[in-house]
Amino acid sequence: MQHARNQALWMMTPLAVVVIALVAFPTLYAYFVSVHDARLSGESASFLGLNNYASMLTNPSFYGSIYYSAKFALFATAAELVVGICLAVLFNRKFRGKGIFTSLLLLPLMVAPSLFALIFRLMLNEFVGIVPYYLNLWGITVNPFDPAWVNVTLVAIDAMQWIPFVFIIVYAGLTTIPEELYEAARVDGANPIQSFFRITLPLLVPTLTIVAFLRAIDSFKIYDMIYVLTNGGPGELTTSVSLFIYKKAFLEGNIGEATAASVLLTFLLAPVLALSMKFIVRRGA
Amino acid sequence: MKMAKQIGFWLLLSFILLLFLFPLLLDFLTSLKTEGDVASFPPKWVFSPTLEHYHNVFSGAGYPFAQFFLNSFFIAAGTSAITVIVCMPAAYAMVRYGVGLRKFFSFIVSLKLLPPIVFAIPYFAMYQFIGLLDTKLGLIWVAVIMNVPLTLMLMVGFIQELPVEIEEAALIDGCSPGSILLRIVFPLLAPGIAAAAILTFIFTWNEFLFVRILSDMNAMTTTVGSTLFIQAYGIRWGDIAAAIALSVLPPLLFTFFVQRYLVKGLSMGAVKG
Repeated sequence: MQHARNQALWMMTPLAVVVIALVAFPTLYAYFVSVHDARLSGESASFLGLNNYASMLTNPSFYGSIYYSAKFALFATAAELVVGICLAVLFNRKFRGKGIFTSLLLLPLMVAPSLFALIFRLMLNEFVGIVPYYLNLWGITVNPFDPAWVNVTLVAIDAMQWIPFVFIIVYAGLTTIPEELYEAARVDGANPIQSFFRITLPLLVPTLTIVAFLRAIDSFKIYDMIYVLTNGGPGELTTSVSLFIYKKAFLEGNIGEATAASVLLTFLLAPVLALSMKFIVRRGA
Repeated sequence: MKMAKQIGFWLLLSFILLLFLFPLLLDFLTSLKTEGDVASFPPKWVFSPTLEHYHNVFSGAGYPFAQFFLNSFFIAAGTSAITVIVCMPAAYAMVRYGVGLRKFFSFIVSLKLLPPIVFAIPYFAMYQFIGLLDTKLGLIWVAVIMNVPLTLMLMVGFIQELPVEIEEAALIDGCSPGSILLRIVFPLLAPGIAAAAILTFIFTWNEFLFVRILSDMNAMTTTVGSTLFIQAYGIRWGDIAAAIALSVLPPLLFTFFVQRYLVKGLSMGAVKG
């Protein structure tokens, strides 16, 4: 048995090496960089102690970007959940061609978010874009990138891509609800709307919790789409925390402060992630 | 009445499908229009298609798009291979010998939940130091760590579903755990492993942030390369549309092979798909 255990440890080696090389080492390196005056130019940096952390903790833009990411995650998740649930309920019946419809509906998920955003730059362009043209026909002349509308635009595009994700998971959850429950409710004189709120929703709570968590965590990271569409503008209006750190490092060239911000963000997210891990790894181990 | 309801349902369904696929459809249409047709107001829905933009993307334009495309392919394939090779024995050891299934496994999975930018900056500083900036190898390394969590999770799930009796019989016959893994477990899990590899391929192909930060012209992939056409001498929408169409094609085609695992793959295995 001892022999077998050695074999097992030996099998773990490749993964352990990869994780040490790719996680442990960069983490230590990040701590090292974050206490130095590291610059993009790569010249040798002087030791600063905790100065980078202090300047991040007193930087209103840093807080603002975290707040923006959180807000974006909240609105995007809410919108995606509502529409995704409606779609799942719509699909939860027998009809021909369901398989092919479902497959096609999942295609947007496979498109790189950066390219999806790029397509929308084309669609929303004021000169060649198809969306402003048809909106104009109906007498709507708003600029989708206007400060008043830009967040609606961004959430809508995120939703276009991720509603199918919510849909497919909720749909999988719906199929596990036994038909007898609905029949019993019908016999008792419940209408479809009552059935939905008294049977479907309560039974979907575990599924919805997981989906909400996954979407919230994921949309909090938002970077690709915003980078391509607005680059965080106008001004700092749409600067998510990922974008804030990116700009710190590569526009201002302050690698030290950007790394400090990354470390702080990790500490901030740790409790949230620990909580969501409980949900996610529940089945595996 | 019933008929009307049926037709209404179908119309609604078709409308929804059209809405969600519209961006993709529009992009394919745009890529086939002449530059004049692209810019025409009102938008043209009927036009004579042209392949000039595809030609431009590969041999005009001023960007080595063919190179970006090959880079994407090479990096995604390399990442897939390494990720599978690293995760497979580890997942087996975790399930059959209970090594590190609790803490180590959770730790690895939690990596996937952090924003990638948190990794990107230290990697940039580190790569600058060891000379891995703008290399395919550098991008593969990063993509491996981003994909290990999901692949490990899928494989642990697959191995847990395998009946242990076959392996026990092989052990009694004198097989070593290593050869059991190679000769029995690997063939049995081949479809699942292929799915994990394809998912890793798709996610790596679609990666943007690390490529943006850790590469320049040499190792750049199509996701970042497509955005370059925007800054180039005025915006040539037809060329961009063609670049996008080419870039989304491989992931879309691959999707059909991993339909069954898609939900699991996209939700990090949190939901039984």
